[in-house]
Amino acid sequence: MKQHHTVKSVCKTFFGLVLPVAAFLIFLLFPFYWMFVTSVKPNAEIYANPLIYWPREFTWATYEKLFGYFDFLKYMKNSLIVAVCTMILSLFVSTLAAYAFSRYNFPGRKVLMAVFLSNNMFPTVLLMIPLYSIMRQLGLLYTPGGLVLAYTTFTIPFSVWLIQGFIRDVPFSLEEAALVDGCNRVRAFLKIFLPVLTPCLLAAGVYMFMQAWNEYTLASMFTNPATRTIPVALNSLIGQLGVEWDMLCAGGTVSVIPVCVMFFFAQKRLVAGLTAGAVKG
Amino acid sequence: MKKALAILLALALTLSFAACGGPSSASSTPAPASSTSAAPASSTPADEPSGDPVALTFWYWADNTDQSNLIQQIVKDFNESNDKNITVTAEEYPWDSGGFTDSTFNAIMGGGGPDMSTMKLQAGKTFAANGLYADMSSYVDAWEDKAQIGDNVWEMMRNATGDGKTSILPWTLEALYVYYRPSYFEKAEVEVPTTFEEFLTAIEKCTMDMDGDGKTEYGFGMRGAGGGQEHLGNFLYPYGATWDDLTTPEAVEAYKAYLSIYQNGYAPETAPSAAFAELTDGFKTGLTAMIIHHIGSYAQWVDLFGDDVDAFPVPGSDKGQWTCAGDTELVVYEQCENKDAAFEFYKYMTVGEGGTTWFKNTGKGLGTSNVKETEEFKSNKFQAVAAEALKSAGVLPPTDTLTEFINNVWAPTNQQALMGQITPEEALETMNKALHG
Repeated sequence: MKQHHTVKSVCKTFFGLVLPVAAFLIFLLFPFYWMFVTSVKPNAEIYANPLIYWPREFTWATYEKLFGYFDFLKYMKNSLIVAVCTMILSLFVSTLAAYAFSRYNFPGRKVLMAVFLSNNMFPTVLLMIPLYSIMRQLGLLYTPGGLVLAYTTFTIPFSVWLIQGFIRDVPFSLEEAALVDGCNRVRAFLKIFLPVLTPCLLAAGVYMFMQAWNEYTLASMFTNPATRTIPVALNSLIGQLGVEWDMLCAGGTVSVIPVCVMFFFAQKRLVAGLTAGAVKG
Repeated sequence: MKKALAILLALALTLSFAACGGPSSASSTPAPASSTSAAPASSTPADEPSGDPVALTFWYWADNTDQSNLIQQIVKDFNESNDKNITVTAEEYPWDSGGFTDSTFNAIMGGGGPDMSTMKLQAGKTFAANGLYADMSSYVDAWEDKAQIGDNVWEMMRNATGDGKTSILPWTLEALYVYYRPSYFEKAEVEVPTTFEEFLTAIEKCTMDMDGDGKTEYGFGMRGAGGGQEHLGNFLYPYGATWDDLTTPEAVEAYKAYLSIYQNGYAPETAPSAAFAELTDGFKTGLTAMIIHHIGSYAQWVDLFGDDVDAFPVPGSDKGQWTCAGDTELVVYEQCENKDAAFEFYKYMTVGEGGTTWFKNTGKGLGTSNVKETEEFKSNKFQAVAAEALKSAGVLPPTDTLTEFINNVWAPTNQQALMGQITPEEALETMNKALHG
């Protein structure tokens, strides 16, 4: 009887959990798998009919070309600089702005919040020419700084709303206790408030990083061959007459790695931060 | 820990600003506004150049990394060899399915952008209407090698802007023709078609299992989506229709013949969504016996199939014959302060050494004497077919709404017609309205 129950339970777990999760994972990971195997296939195997699911012959020549002739590291460095700077700048400004919007009551607060939100209502292309013109006047065109500023015009408003929503849920009594214990505003913010905000800042930071890492439209306008970022560099492999699938897939595979690594660490911190925040709250 | 976090944040912020500012000075590109100013001292031409130094920026797209390298090399050679102290900085931008012209347009409208760039005829009117092109008519008229390029080509350039000026300068014209697999023809027992009717028959007969794997190979690689509008012209003219009016009975008959290829199963099921990549992938994998394309892709077919690939011009009928010329032009922008230098560069890129090098490596050109004299031209069977196809070549009518037709109307309308969701008449009505207003 007990054995019957065990078999039933195993079957239930297998069909109810393991199998659907496995199917979902295959669905989710297959594009990444295909991207990788395409990058290590010789050209003839990429276009073979019927499809070759596992390379008969591995070649790393594409990666050699990618990091050699194509100088992909340069694009990775540019993307990393832009994404990290966008993230840090946006987090810094958004956190302070969101704090002010949440904790201070000043005239025009709601209007300002609405104005922040309205920025996201405009399509990116609409702002291309004005932003281009501004960047040119400021001498920021074709510099990573220009691209960072352009990205922050989109990431900051969103992050302000995101962080502000989180701050509202943080009890004001936490800061009051700190103020009563002798902290000033700045110290209370840094010592008490900021640690509680960690999970939210991580979530917002990951969002900003991803936005800047993957963005194409503005990057194609505000960079030149020296400051080009990964999405634009990869797009240049899609020509009028053909797609260099091997290079494109190799570039895609490499560009996914930093994001995966970041997520791996951010995820751990994110969960830890959430737990800590809940206990403190 | 918290203190460390705060210090780290401040440090990272400081570093980020420093990092942002850094590469700007290392940028290899002068700011567009100063692109026509004096050339850098380090780029002095070798052959005792005369005149003040002139710096020009040239934006281009490349179809692959080899072409990218090639253009950079050609420009480098020009910088080193020209005797007029001209230094061109070539900057590559992604083709981005035509987004290149949008980026260039936005950049110039924003006060930046290049002095010269590669261009497509279809974007001619938008740029011309905004006064962005330089009128190069006087330069062309005074050019001793003008006659090397056919009058019909210059006419095509003038028509593309709609203002009668020669603002767009031809660089490469690639007439579309049919690539086919002789082994497939042999198996299907068909000869190379010389009439449009034979062409349709060949498509039908080549739809069979060619490699014995139990799956059907298709007679024709149909490009139902992006870029496929160019192929429609191959069907219109043999039925007596033209691009001028797509609602005539002749146009309807031609379009029905086109649609029937897919609806009868002579083209892959993916045809409605097939753009260039799907078209070429189908031919590469042996899925299709024939595709319509131009000289630009011959090298990859020869690499892949060796002798088992050949070509013929898309046949016509006694009513007409037409094929689209894939085009890439060079333009000089009004904001260029030294148009003489820009035209020198153009000459180098066509009848000069740059044009010869370009042809030798890509098979593309304008059939100028420097190109025809090369061994690459004489020994390439595809060049002869391309030259033959060029005789009936043209471009889509450069109406104000051509870009809109190409980018937003053609693919969805044609897809609906291929899938039988709308009638051929309805599809042509929509296309005609989009094309001619």
